[in-house]
Amino acid sequence: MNERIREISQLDRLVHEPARLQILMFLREVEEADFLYLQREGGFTQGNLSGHLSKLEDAGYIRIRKMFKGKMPLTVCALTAAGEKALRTYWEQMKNIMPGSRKSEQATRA
Amino acid sequence: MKEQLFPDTPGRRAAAYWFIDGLPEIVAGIGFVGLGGGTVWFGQFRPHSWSDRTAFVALGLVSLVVVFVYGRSIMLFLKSRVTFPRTGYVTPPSDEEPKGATIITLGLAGEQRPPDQNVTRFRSSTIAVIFSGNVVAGVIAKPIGVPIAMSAVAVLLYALHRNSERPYHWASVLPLPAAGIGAMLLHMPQDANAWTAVLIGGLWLAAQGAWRLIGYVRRHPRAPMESFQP
Repeated sequence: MNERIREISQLDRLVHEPARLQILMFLREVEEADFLYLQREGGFTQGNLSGHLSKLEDAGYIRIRKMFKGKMPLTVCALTAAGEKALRTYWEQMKNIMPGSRKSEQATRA
Repeated sequence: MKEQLFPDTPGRRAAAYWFIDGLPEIVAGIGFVGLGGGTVWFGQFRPHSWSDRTAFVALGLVSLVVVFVYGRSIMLFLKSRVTFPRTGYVTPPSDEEPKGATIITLGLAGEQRPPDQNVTRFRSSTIAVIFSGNVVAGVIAKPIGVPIAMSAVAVLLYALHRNSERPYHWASVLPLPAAGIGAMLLHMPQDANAWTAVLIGGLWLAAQGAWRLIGYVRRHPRAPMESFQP
């Protein structure tokens, strides 16, 4: 099997899952966001999002803290350094696996 | 009324989210109305006593500091009561792009830098545009100056914010020159021209925000308390 294809098995499954990847990508660009915002942006259900956030928190990829804005409780999530590193590693692996589209490879060969 | 959150990257969407409720426009608009309206009023009805003048200037300065320096804190206070309970909280956009920041995007372009970051230049560009109206109306110093200045303000607001986080529809800026013509027909005193432009700009901005806020509150009833159970 092609070495590049074999590398797919090395991908971090925690990051590779689309919903979790979406959450990490959101947090990568916005610093921190609360549960409700993530739920709306990603179109998640409450249970679904809770599950994904718990997994990411357990892995140390995100930090979750409870805070109050007035009387409103907010569950604010932020990407940790480990999460940032995991995302970067994942992206490097993806680039190695798929360095370019087939079209661009054909154009390069021509 | 359809919700407008066009940008497709999380950072740009978060920046656009800052304007979803119209509060930034209301706060800035009130600031301009206070500044423009207060100055026009002061010009027309000059208080005679020294203490009245001092009180007016002090009140103006305090209002300016409150709106333009503590504007963000005021908005966070308002948003914590209006917006966060309804549609959630995300880090407010910064006014400047962080320098030297690298960013990764999972798109075809590969590694990229900022255009997708949570930043906005709305505040600085709006202040610059409204004050450009003040300068134009002041320089022309004729009744026709106000409609000309407001037409320029309308064009600039539309053009500068066209691809921003808070774009304005071309039809929504039309009231500006119309209000300028109205001010001319009302025979506003010429020495008040410059600040009339700021007053109109502020009223327009606050009206835009209020319209947005009404639509937002109607579309988003308060969400039930969140329930994140790890």
